[in-house]
Amino acid sequence: MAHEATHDHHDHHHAPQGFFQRWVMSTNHKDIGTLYLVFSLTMFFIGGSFAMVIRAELFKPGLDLVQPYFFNEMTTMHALVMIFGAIMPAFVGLGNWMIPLMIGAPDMALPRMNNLSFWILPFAFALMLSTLFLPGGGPAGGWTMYPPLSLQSSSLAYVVFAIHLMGISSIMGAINIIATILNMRAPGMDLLKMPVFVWSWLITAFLLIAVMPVLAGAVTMLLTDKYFGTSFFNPGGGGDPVLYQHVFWFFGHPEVYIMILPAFGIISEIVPTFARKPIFGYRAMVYAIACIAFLSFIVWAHHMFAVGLPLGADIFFMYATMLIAVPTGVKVFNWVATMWGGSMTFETPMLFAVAFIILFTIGGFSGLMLALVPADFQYHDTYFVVAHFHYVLVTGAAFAIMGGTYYWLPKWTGHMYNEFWGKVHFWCSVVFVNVLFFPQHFLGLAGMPRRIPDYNVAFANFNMISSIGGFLFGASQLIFLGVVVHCAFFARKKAADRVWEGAKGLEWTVPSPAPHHTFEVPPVVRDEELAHGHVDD
Amino acid sequence: MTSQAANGQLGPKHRHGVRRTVLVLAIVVGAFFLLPFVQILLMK
Repeated sequence: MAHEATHDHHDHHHAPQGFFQRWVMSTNHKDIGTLYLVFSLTMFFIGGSFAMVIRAELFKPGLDLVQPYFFNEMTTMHALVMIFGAIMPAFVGLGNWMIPLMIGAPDMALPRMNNLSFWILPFAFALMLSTLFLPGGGPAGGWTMYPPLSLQSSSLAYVVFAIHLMGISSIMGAINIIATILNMRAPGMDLLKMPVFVWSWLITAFLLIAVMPVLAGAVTMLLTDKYFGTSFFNPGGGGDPVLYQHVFWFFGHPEVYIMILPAFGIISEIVPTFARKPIFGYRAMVYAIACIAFLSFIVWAHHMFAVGLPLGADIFFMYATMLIAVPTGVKVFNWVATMWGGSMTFETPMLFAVAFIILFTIGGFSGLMLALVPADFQYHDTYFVVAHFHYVLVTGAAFAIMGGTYYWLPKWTGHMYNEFWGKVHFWCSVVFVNVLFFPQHFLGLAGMPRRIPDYNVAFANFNMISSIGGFLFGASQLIFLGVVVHCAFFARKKAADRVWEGAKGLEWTVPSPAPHHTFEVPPVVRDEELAHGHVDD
Repeated sequence: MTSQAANGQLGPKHRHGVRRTVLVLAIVVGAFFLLPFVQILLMK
C-alpha cells in the first residue's frame, strides 16, 4: 500500500538549515514550489496595484489622477505582470509541489534546473519593473507590443530581455515537468491513471515548449528592427507590421490555454473530492484537454479579424474558434455530471470550483460571441473584450489557483486554514468580481474602447460601478493573504494526512505537512488509492 | 541539501530516459524559435 511504503522513509524529512541554503540553493520540489507561489502572490499584489490605478483613473470621466502615458504604462505592466508574473508562476508552483507527490516521484527530474528556472524570474521582473523608473518610462504600447508603436519605446530592450528571461524560465520549467511525468512515475502509475491535474500540466508543458520560443523569436525581431536596422515589421524596408501580429498570436493564443488548462486540472481534482464521486468521464476529460491544446494552434487570427484578413481566413478562423466550444463543453458537462447525485459539501475550495464552472462559462460564451467575424468588427478593442478575458483569467485561472491553494494548503503547512475567513474571502471575491467585470460587457457593447484614460460621459455610471467593484475585489484579496499567512504561521488546528474525506490519490497518503523528502522508495501503487485507478469509461 | 534526484541517485534507466526527453525537447525548442524567422524569410 502506498501509505505504508511512504511512511517507512519519513526519517529523512529535515529541511536544510539556514535561510540561504534552504531557499536560495534549494533543489527540493516543495521548497521551489513554495518560492514560486510566494513570488506569484507578490506579483499578484503588484499587478493588482496597477489595476487599482487604472480603475481609479476611470472612476469618473476626465483626466483626473495620472498622465495618459503613465496610464498606458499601467495597462501594459498590469497585463505583463499578471500573465507572466502571477498566473503562470502560480501554476508552476502548484505543479512543482503536487506533480511529484501525485505520481509518486521523489522530486522533479531536473532539480538543479528547477532552481534556476525559479531564480531567473525575480531578476526578469526586477528588470521589467525598473523601466517604470527610467527617464523614458516603461513600455506603454500594450502587452502585445505591436510595432510600430512598441518600437518607439525607449525601454524596449529591457522589456525584450526580460521576456527572454521569462521565456527561458518557462521553457526550462516545461522541460522539467515533461521529463518528470514521462520518466519518474511510480510503478503502476500508468499514464491513464494519472490525476487530471498532472495530465493538464503535461499538455500545458508541451504548449509552452512550442510557443515560448516563437514569442522569443518575435521580440528578437522587434529588437533587431529597432537597434540593428532590420525591417521585419517596417514597411519602409519591405516589412509588414501585420506579420508581427500573426507571429505574436501564434504564441498568444496557446498562451491563453497555458493559463487555463492547469486550472481545468485543479477543478478536476477539487470537484470529485467534494462530490465524493470519481470524476465523470475521466478519459473524455483528458482527451478534451488535448483537443483544446491542439485547436489552440489553429485559431490565432481570431485576435486580428479587424486587420482585414482574406474572407477564407476569416471563415476558417471563426469556425476553428467555435470548435473549441465542443471539448470545453465536454469538460463543463463532466464537472456538472460529477456533482450530480454526489454527497456534496461546500468547503472553500469547492465554492471556488463551483464559481469557476459558472463564471468561466460566462467568459467562454462571450468568447464565442467574439469569435463571430461580423460581431467581432463591432466588439474589437472595446471593453467587451476586457470583460471577456477577465472572466476567463480572473474568475477562471485566478479562482482555480485560489481554490487549489485552499485545497492543498493543509497538506503544505500541516494546519487547517480558517474556514470562516476562507468563505468570507470567497463570497467577497465572487460578488465584487462580478460588480467589477460584468458592467464592462455593457460598456463594450455601447462602444467604449479599451486602453483609454478618459471617456465619454455616457459611460460614466457603469465605469463608476466597475471601479467600486474593483477596489472592493482588490481589498478582498487582503483576506486571502491573511488566511494564507495565518495558516502557514499561526494556525493551531492540525490537518489530517487525508485532509478531505473524499480525497483520493498518492498525495494524500503522505503526512501533513508533507515531509521534506517523500517517495524516496517508489510507492506501491494500488488502484483503490487513486482517483482514477479503475478507468473503464 | 540536494534532493535524491539532484544527487544523481536515480537509476540508469531513469537517467537515460530523462536525458533523451530533454534532448528531444531542446530540439523542438530550437525548431520553434527558428520558425518565425523561416516563415518571414519565405514570405519575402
